[in-house]
Amino acid sequence: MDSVASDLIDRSDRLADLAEQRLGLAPTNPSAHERARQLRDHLEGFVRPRAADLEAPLLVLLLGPTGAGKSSLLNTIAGAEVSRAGVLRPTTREAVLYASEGDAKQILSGGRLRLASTDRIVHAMAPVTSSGVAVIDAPDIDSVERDNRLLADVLLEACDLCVFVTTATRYADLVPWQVLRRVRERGLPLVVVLNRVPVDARDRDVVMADARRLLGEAGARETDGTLDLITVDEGDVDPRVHGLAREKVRPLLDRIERLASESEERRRVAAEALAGAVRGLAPLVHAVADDLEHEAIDAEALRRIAETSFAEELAALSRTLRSGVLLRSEVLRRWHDFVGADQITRFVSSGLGRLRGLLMTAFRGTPTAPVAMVEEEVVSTLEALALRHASDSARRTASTWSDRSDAAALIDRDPTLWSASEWLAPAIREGLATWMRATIDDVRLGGGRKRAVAQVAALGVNAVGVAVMLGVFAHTAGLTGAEFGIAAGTAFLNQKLLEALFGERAMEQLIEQARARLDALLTSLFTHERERFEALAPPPTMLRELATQLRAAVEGLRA
Amino acid sequence: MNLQRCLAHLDEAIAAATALGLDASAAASVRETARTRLGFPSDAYVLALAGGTGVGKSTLLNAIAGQEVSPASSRRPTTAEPVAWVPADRRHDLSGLLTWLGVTHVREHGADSLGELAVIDLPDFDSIAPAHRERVDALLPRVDAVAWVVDPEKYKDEVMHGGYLRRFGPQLRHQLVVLNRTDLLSPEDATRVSDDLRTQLRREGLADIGIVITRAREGAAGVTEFRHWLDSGVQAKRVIASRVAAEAHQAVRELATSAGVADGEVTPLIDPGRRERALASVARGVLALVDIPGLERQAVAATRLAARPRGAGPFGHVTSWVYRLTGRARASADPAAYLRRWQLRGSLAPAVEPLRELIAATLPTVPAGVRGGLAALSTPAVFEQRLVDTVDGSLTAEAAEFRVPSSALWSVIGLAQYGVTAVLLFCALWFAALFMIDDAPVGSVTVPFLGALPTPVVLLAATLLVGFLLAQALRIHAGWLGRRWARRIGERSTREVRQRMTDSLLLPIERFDSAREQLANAARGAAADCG
Repeated sequence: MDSVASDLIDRSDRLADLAEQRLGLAPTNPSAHERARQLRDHLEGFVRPRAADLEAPLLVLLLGPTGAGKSSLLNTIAGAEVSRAGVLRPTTREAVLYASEGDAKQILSGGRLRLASTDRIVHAMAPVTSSGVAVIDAPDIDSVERDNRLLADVLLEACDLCVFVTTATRYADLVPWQVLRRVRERGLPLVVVLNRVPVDARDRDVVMADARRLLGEAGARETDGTLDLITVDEGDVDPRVHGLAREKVRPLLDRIERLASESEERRRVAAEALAGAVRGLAPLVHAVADDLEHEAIDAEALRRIAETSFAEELAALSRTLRSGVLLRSEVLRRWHDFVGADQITRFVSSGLGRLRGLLMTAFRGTPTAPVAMVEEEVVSTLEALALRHASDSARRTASTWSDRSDAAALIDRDPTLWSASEWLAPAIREGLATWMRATIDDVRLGGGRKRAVAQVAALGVNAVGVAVMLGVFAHTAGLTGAEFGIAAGTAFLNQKLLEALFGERAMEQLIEQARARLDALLTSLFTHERERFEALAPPPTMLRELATQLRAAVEGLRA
Repeated sequence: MNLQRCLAHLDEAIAAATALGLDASAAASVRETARTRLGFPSDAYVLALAGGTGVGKSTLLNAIAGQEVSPASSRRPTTAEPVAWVPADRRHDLSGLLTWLGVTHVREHGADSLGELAVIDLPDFDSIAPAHRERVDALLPRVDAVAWVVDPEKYKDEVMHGGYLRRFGPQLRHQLVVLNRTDLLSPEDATRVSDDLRTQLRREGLADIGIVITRAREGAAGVTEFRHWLDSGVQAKRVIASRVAAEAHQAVRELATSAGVADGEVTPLIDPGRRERALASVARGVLALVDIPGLERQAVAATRLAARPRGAGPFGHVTSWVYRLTGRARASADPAAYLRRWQLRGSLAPAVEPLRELIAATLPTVPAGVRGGLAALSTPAVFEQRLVDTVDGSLTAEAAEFRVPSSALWSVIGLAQYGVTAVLLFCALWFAALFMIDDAPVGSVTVPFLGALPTPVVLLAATLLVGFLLAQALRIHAGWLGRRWARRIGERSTREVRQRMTDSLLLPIERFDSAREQLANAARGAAADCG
């Protein structure tokens, strides 16, 4: 094996691997998917095996629309009825592989037809004399049986020579024409059989000239400028084998015979097919890379939509949390009563007030703080607000995505994307519980002040923890009016208490720390929610990286 | 079939679909086409010959006409421009219709039996000439009947079945598949092919489309079966009306399908049980903010405040004046203002949360087409706004009705307090007199004794006691009245909030549901009137 061949094998492996990765990204655009599939099938089914072994049996594919006479042609080639030809369309659902036993084994067990489901390939035994050439009769490409098209597409990527069978009625049909374009793109040697040509001389001339013109325009010419066109007239049949008349397709039969008998000729055709394939490879790879880059742009746009929606809603949530009116005044009043009680103000006051507080404590004991009530209020309010804003972000993203053709299907597929995920509510509760524990732990350490530790213990760690949490939400800034009075009053007393316990700096630090933790918690929850959307739009960097790798893999590839 | 009613159902369906936020543009264009078509003379109907290239559409038309109407050729594709073959005596009447169809090549015929028939030979829809396909796509929605022409090679092409039959078949009443070029087959094979085609049509849900076998190349003799179908005495009016109705029916059905009400059954989007539960918990959340106990405290305080000037004697005026001046009355004895300020008593988010959850749970069960519309009109912000409006409306109305109770008893107590004050004053004067005129110019003053105690002391103590008891009586009575009133307004406010919320909070969703109902009705009506 020469260095050119081994280079080609390496590249094929790399490219096939990249093409597989690309298909794994589930392209939403059908033609992008089709190109990626062609690339993978072509590399795996043809380029790599052919580069590895130019001597492997030549695969001749009979391809064409339903009812054009592919099976009849195979019967003629085999000289026996090996493929069922009939009036009912589509005649064949399986591909018939006409090959000698050794060739068939090599083709079916090797990797070339790995991507075609082998249970849909029927083997028809050919004599040993025809070894080296295998003819495969593909199912149709245009009938209501769409599976047939899929199988034919895979076979098209794997063969060395294409015999395109069409008819005088069919030759201008669009679907076969699209298939022929792929034949040309992948540089596949082509023979055209035009079947059922009218017997009438004038009609015949019209059809022939027109078909030649169209085929020529489509570039279905050999490199030497001639077009391999074989015509079979209406009624030119060989009823013994249900095939086409032998003498009419003689040129094709001769060619196949020659390929079977002369290994040199076989090698030449294989090399020619490989050369054509290599020429066609770079454009296809670049087209796939282009698709990837376009997809990266789309994915970026989609992700940006999600990012903006979630960021804006998170910001709105933060604003609400800082607005000062958050917790119910009923709850605040209870807290106000607690922090305003004489027994508590003794921590704050000095002199007579302190003495009074001490006396009251001696008589009445320390009042119990409504810790559970405030905690529940904080949790339920924060939960509701976070859920609301997360739901709004999801709805905004889903709504904008639905208006885009490239993402509407993604949203339709998963209706839960229209609101916050089910996971969010429990996650918020759990996160808030952790947050409260962390805040209480901070408080237990007394904000770093020895004297505070004892006082905090006297008041109750949980109660002081709640005071710090309230410090995050309830503050005095800009609150006026009767209802705000209670919020502002509570905030003021609360702040006095904390200041007395920890000193101003430590208090601010405690509150700031709690606030930062809460922000971090909400940010991570929102990020998690946003990732539901991001999972649907592949990472743009990954797409670009794949495109770059694809381009690099064909860099410097020469025929 | 009732065409007028059928089209009315289409109108209803379009209106309902628009209300649901569905894209009704396709249905609107069906309506437009229907109206335009019905505006043209209806004594001749248009039959299109549609099929792939090379199946012999032109040859078929020529065979029916007995002359070359449309040039047939072996060259593919042949016909680029549709050709119309119309009754000679109707040509003038039909010219408007033909212009609307965009057909300029017109040939006339004088066949009496086909007096109500205009045939259009369409270009192919499967060749490499995309313009042909576009032409067909534009024309097919406007013609009244279609003969789908196939041949033994092409009778199962996906382009034909997937692209045209399955799409247009359900919108047509007068249609037929013509299996042409059977001269290529033996008669038995032609029957087999025809049976296979019938099986395929059945599989596609188009079992009622008939199939005729023709050999157009043999001229009139080869197309007798088709000719027979053409002659079979259908009324042009019926063909046109049934076509319009079928198209309208299909359009209504599609809209109904995308709203998930195609079977005519409409279950409410939101399960009534869940809905009740959600509303109940929203009401709980709102009432927690409205703070009924707080309202009751205010009501009691307000009643006491009102009782003070009337029932507390001269000092009552002073204290109530002080209360008002210091703002204490406003802050703690004004239930109406307290009620109006309900929103400032905390965040509404927890109250709205059950609704958000309800919608989030409902959305996945809603058909994809209406999800966006429903989601947009049921965001928490929208709910909150509705909630604020609803509750505000009811509470403001409620607060305006507040009348602090009063009682004639207060005035009696007040009068008695004035008496008490007078007696006190008398006592004071008495004591003063006793001290000041100790050194009386005329004789001395004997202090009367009541038992062991001097009478002025007894009188003073008794008056103070009476005053205290009167004040307590006022307090108790005003408190009792106030509490009774407070309970009443508390209950009324609660009831009002609950009631209004149930009535109007989910109104947009109810409207949404009623639009679905309307669409389902239109679908049911269309099934009855467009058939």
